[in-house]
Amino acid sequence: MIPLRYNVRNLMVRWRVTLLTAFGFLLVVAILVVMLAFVEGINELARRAGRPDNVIVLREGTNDELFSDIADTADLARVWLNEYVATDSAGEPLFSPEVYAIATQQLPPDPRDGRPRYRFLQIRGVLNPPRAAAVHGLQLLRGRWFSSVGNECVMGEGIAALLGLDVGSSFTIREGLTWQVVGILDSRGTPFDSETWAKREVVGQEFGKDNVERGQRFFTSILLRLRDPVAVSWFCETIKDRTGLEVSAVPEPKYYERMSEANTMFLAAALFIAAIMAVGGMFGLMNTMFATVTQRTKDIAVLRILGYQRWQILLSFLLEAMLLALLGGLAGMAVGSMFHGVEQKSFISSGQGGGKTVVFQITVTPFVLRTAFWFTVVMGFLGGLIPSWAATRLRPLEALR
Amino acid sequence: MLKFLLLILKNLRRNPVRVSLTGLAVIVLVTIYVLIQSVLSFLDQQMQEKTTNIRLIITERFRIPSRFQKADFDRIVLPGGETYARLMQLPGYLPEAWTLWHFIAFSLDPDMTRRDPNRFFFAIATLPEKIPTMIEGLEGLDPTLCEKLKNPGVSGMENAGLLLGPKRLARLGVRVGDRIQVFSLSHRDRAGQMIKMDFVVVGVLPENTRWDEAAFIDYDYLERTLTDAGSELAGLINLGWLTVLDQATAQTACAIIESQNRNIKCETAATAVNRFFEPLKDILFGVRYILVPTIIVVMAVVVSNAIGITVRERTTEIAVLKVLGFTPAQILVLILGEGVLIGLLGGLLGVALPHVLVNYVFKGIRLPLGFFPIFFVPTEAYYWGPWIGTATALVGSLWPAITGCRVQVAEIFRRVT
Repeated sequence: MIPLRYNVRNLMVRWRVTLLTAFGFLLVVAILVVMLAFVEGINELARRAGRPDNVIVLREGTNDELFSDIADTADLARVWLNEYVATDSAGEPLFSPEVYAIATQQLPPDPRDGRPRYRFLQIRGVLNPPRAAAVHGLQLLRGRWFSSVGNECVMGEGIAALLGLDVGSSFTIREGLTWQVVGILDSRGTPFDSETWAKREVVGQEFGKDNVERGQRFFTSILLRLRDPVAVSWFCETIKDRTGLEVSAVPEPKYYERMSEANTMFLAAALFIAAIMAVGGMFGLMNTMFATVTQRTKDIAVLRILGYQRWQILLSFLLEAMLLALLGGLAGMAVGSMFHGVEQKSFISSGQGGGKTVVFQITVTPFVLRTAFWFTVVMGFLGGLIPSWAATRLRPLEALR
Repeated sequence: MLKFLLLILKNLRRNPVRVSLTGLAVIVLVTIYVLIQSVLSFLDQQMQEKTTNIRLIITERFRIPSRFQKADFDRIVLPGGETYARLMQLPGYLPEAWTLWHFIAFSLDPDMTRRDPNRFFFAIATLPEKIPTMIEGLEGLDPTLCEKLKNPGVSGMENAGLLLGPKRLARLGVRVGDRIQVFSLSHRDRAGQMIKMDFVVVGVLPENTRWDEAAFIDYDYLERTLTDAGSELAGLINLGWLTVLDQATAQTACAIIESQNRNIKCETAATAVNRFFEPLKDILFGVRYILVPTIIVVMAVVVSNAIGITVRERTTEIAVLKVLGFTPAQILVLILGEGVLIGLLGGLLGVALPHVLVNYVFKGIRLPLGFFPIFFVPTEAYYWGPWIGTATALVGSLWPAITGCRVQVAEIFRRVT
């Protein structure tokens, strides 16, 4: 075998070309790592979003609570008053009927033209805040839960920071509707980080979920905690028949998983972009390796005369190409990993036109690093193959002449 | 000048493998740049305020999804209302340029447990006669096709026409002329049950537009059905659209509309799109300021590497050229010329390739971003591609070219034995 040291020395002798080619690889792999880590960040958020023993009940035919409306009738209690729903220490069933809405908050006018400006706010109306938080697996970071009187709310830590609000602050959604922030949710890393929670009545009436004229009130979803996580699938499949209501149920993790399905589009786009960039990088590597072979025709001839076989020459140059790719690739993985933990804002959607704004962290997982590594290896292999093969075709005597 | 060009071409022909590989790298990198830039420039266009023919969008002020009384919109666009009278006084107001939208989701299947995505569709109930003038991307749509929404030509089916995008038509597995029964997913009758509606598929929307998956129905038919069914959504619309001539009219019109009704808001379509894309701003920033520059740097590195190798291989030759009287500036131009020519040709091919593939073979980039499900490579890309290819190659070749023109003749010939 031709010693690997020979290849390493060659890379060091031609250090400028080595560094430039490796730098190209570094950029391609770093971008791949960041793009994959971005997708993984949203997936991670969706994975942590739901408890496996929680079930979300929606109106039949909807995938997104924004578009769901379940009329609050006497029969509705059949959804949570049954032996399958878990109870708290006081024996109360763990359920939370809620109203989820997106509100348009009016902001101070634009100083340039005096026109009003708006932004979207995600609002959840809950009946019993401590119980709702218990079912969602959330706690208060500071402050207290809102009371049954007055316009009070609690906010996700992320949205509160974004809006510059804290316990004691108040904000106006529109004329005549001002909420006072009385608590901050410990919601980092969950989809509730960008939500504001308030009284169900206020949210239902102010954001068009209730029909005030007809005296009807609606919930967009009902979150339940089941006693037996094993029974979740069965519970979801049979809820319509058991209750006789036009509702469907889905395990909470699956609900958020569905919401993050749009990410497959980002994942596909990320891989496509990275693959095309890699092809560009590969051509650069081929250039370098062809130049290497041309510069070392005499070396190759001597090696052949010394008795090294064609396949050994091929292997040697291929290893050199892969070494060069790995040099850049590993550095790229390191650079890409520096983005781990960077906070990002994005959007998850069930594809029905609704969706949620979420704050998440770019997450470099072992999957991301494994993908980047094998990506580098394959690029190095493909980029080095043809020049290495060309090296084996050299005729020793002609090369030495 | 011509001599220089011939010399550059001759030099390039001396190492076809290297030139081809570098050219291919430029082509693929320009291709990906053009694809990304096509999406970004389209979004920029949508988010940028226009100066003429401005579309205004009227929505319920505080809620998503927006729903408001059609009667409120009528006061804006139909004679008789105070708002209408005030708007008519604006010089840039176009009294006929308006339409309304009411969204509804349908399934072909009353059994929701099957949840087959190919059996669902979203329809926009609108005014058929306004489709060719008020819907971006459907300008020039055959008015007789829109007329068929009102008169599908089947007795007892007045106003029950259905226009489908070509992709949606294929997904649903229906054909023009078919009569179908659908069940509303988003709207319920007074008893809380799905509302049944019958339609005749009267036509297909043009291919290669963002309306590939869309469906249009006649608003009058929907409204009549919702009223008969006792739906609480009867009499409501989701959006109203106006077109006005200029920004000044747009600002004044919005102020008038909002002052007359505090529950609705009026803004330019660009403002609404901007707000919708607010959660995606981080991604768009990353694409624009990290991904695109990285692609350009990778391209510059590949060109720089290739030209650098070429210069190192030809130091003796460069020394000979200097001895023959070539000035350093001329040598610089010769080397830069090689890089620039590769960049220019690579850039041209890097645009032609995605333009043909995306627009004619794959019929668009399917990347659903909000209201924009499909993107195309615009013809302006024929400016960006060669420009970015040439500029990047120029920058990439600069350092090797400077190194080449600094070659010391005596130093080189001392080494030649």
